[in-house]
Amino acid sequence: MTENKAKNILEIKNMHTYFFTDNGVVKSVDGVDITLKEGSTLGIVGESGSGKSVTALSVMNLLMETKGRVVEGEIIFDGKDILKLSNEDQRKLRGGEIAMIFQEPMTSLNPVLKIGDQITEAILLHTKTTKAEAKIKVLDMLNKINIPRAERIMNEYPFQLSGGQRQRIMIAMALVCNPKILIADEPTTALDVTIQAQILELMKELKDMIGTSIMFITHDLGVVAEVCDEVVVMYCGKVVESADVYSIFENTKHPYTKGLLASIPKLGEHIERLESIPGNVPNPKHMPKGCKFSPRCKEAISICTEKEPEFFEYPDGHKSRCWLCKKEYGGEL
Amino acid sequence: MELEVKNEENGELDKIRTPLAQFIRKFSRQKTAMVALVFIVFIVLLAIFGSMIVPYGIEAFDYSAITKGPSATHFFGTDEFGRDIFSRVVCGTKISLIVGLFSVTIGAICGTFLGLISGYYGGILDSVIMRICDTLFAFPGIILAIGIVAILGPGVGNVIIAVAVFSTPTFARLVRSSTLGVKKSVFVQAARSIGTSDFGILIHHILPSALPNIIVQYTMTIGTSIITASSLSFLGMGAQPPTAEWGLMLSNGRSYMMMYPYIAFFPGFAIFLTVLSFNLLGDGLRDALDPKLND
Amino acid sequence: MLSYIIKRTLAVIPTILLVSIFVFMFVRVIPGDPAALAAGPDATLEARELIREELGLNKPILEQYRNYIIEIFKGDLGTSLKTKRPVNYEIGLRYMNTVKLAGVSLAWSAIVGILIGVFSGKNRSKWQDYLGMTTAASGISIPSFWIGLMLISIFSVKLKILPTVGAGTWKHLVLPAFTLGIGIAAIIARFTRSSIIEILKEDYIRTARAKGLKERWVIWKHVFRNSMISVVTVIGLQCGFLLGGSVITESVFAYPGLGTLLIDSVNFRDYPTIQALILIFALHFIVINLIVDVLYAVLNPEIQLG
Repeated sequence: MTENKAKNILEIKNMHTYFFTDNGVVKSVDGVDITLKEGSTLGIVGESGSGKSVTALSVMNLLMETKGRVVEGEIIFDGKDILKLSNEDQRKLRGGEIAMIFQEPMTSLNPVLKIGDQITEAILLHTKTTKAEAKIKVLDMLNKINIPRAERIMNEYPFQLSGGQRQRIMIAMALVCNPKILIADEPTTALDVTIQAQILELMKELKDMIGTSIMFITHDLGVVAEVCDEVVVMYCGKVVESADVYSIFENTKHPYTKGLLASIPKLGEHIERLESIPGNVPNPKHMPKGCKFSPRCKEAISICTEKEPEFFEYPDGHKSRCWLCKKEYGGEL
Repeated sequence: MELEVKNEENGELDKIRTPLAQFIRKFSRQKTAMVALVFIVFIVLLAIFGSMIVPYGIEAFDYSAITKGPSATHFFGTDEFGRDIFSRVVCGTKISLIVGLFSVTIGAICGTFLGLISGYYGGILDSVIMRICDTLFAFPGIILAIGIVAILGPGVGNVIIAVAVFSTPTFARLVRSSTLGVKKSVFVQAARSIGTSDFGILIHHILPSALPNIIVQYTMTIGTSIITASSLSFLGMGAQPPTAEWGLMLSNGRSYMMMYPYIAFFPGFAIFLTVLSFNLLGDGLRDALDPKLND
Repeated sequence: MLSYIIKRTLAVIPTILLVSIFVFMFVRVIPGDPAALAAGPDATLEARELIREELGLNKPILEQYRNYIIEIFKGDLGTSLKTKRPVNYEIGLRYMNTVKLAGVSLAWSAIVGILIGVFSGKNRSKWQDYLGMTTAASGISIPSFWIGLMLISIFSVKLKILPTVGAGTWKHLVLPAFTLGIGIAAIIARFTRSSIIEILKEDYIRTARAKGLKERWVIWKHVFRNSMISVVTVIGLQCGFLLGGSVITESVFAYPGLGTLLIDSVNFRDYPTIQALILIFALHFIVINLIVDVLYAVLNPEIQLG
C-alpha cells in the first residue's frame, strides 16, 4: 500500500480541450484529471484519438497552429494555474521547467541548423550562461546520453544522424536545462525495437540522475510495464482508469484496460486467434449515449448505455470509470 | 450533389458530398474570390453589350469638347480629340478580354497537349519538347513577345500569337509533371490492361488529374496576358490607333500627363481592376482546389 | 558540392546553344527580305545589295550561323543599322544604367516582399494577412506603365520633387525603381507567405516552440531560415520579370537603358541590335538562374555536404 507522501508536481483538473473545426466541435479532451507525483513516471495510455497527445500539448500551450483551445479546467504547476498565465509566462516555462519530446525524431529537428546550435539555443535562453559555458554543458549532456564523438556531432546536421541518434539528441535538448517535468509523447514508437530498449534505458538513467518527473505517453503497455510507476488510461477524451503500475496489470478494473491487456500476445501462449476489442473508436460526431465504451464492452449492463459512469475510487487509490465498479463496491465514493 | 449513406454504426444517415459540391462549398466561402467573380461577370457583360449602351461612339470626335475633365456628360472626361473616355474605356473591354482569353486558351491547349505527350511517352520526344520549353523560358516573357511582334509586325492578332507562344511552356511543364505523377498509378495500369487506347487514357485518366492546376494557371495567366497585351499596345506594337484599346489610350494620354492626367488614369485603372479580379479569382480557385489546405 | 556546381553549369550549355540558334533564326524568319526591310522602302537596288553584303545574308545558312557564333565569341555583335556604330558600343553606353535600375529595384522589392510575406504568413487569416495579401494581389495587377505615369504626374509634375525623365542622379532612380519593383515585391511577398505557412506546420517548429523560444526567434531563425531556400529561388526567377519589366519602365521614364534601346531598335527595324539585345537578355537570365541554383546548394546543407 502506497502512501501519497510525495508532493504532486503537476495537477491537471477537469481539463477540456476542444477543436473548433469547419465541421463542428471535436471534444478531444473532455474532463480529465491527472496528477503527476514528484520524481515518478506516469504513463498515459490510450489508442490514437483518445486525447493523450492533446493533453500534453495543452499543458505545454502548443496548440497555436491548430484549431484547439483549452476551454475549461486548471493545470496547477508550482502552485500556480498555468492556464491563467500570459502567453509570455507560459513560454518561459516551456523548455526550462517543463520540457517535451515528440514521436517523430526524423522530422523534429530543424534540417538547416547544426545540432550544437539547436541544443545550445535552449540553454542560452533559459539560463544565464555564456556561449562557452553552454557549449561545455551540451558536450557534457551528449556524453551522458552516450553519443560518441560529441564534439563532431555538434557541428553536424540532423540528416547525418540516424533515427535513434536523433531521438537521443531530442532527449538531450529537452533535459539540458534540468526541467522539473519531461513530457514524452510516444518517443519510441517510431524506432526499432532494439533502439527502443536503449532509449528507455537512457530515460530511466537520466531520470535518476537529474530527478525529473516524467509523463510518458504511449499506446504500448509493454513500455508502460518497463518504465512507469503510475498509469492512467484514456478513452475518448476521458480518463477511464488510473492506478499504480502493479495494480493496473494485476488488478485491472476497467473493461477497456482489460481488453488492451488481453490483446497483447504472450510468450509461450498457444492460441488460434489474437484477442481484440470488437468495434471501432466512435466517430466524434456520433458519440454513444452513456458510457462511451459501452458499444464495445463485453460486460456492459443496461445502465451503461443510459448514463455516463462517474470516476469511482477504491480505498487504495485505484480509480475506474465504470458502473461495474460501483456495483462491485456497492456504491462507494 | 449530396448522397445519403446509411451509417453502419448507428443507423443514421450520413451526407457524402461529391468533389464538385465540396469545391463549390469551399469556393463560395471565400468572399474576395466571389466578389471578383461577380466583377468578372460584369466585365464580360460589358464586353458583349458595351458598345450598345455607351453614350458616345468611340470615334466620335468632338472638337468643341476636347480635354475636358470628368463631368456629368462625360464621366471620365474627353481626350485630345474630344472623344468620350468613358465610352472608349467600356468598349476597350471587349478587345482586352478577347486578347486575354484567346491567347491564354491557345497557349493552354498547346501547352497541355505538349505536356501530355511529353510526360506520357517520354524518351526523345520528351527531351526535345522540354529543351524547347527551356529555351523559351530563358527569355523573359515580354522580351519574347516583343521579339515575335518585331518579326510579325504590330497588331492585335500578332499580340495574341506572341502571348500564346510564351504561355505555352508554362502549361506544358505543369501538365507534364502532373502526367508523370499519374502515369505510374494503378488505375492507369488497370485501364491499359483492359485495352484502353493511349488516347483514351490520356483524356479520361491523366488529364482530369491535371485539370485543377490547369484551371488555376489559366486564370492567373489571363491577368498576365492582359497586361502584356496592353503593354505592347502602349509601346506601339499592339493595337493601332484609332482602336479603343486601354494600353493604346494610355500611350496617347502620356503626352497630356502634365495637364490632363485623367486621360491616362481611367484606362489604366480599368486594366488594374480587370487583372485584379482575375488574379483574385485565381487565388480563390487555387485555395478551393488545393487538397493540402484541408485542416 | 563542387560537382553539383559543375553539373549545373554543364546542363546550362545546351540551353545556351539552343538560345543562340533561336535568336539567330529569329531574324531570318521575318516575312519578306530582311535586307529590303532594313534598307527601307526607298532604297535602291544597290543599297539593298550592299546591306545584304553587310548582313552576310548571301552565304549559306550554316556558314552564317558559324560566323555568327564566331563573332559572338570575339565579342562582336554587329553594327547598328540605325546609328551605324557597333552594337557593342550602343549597349555599352546603356548597360550600367539598366544594371543600376535592376539592382536597386531588386534590392528594395526583395526586402519589402520578404517582410510583407513573413508578416502575412505568421499571422495567417488575421487582419495582417488580409492586408498583406490584398496589397500583394494589387501589386501584381498594377500595369507598370500606368503606375509609372501616375507617379510622374504626382511627384514630378504636381509636387516637382523628382525628375520626370532621364538618368544621372539617385533621384532619377527613385520612381523607376519603385515602378519596376512593385510587381516583383508582390510576387515575392505571396511566395514567402506560402512558404512560411508550409514551414510553420512542420514538426521541428513545434520542437522549437516546445523549447520555449520567443516567437520572433522561432519565425526568423527557424522558419525563415528554411523558407529562405525557396524564396531565393523565386527571387531568381523574378529576375526574368525584372529584365522584361525594365523595358516598359525605362520606356515610361525615358530612362536611357537597354530597354529603351530595344524599343527603339524594334521601331526602327534595327535587326542586328534587336538580335544582340534578345541574346543578352536571355543569357543574363540563364546565368542568374545558374547563380540561384548554386545559392540553393549553399543554403541547403544536404546538398552542400551530402
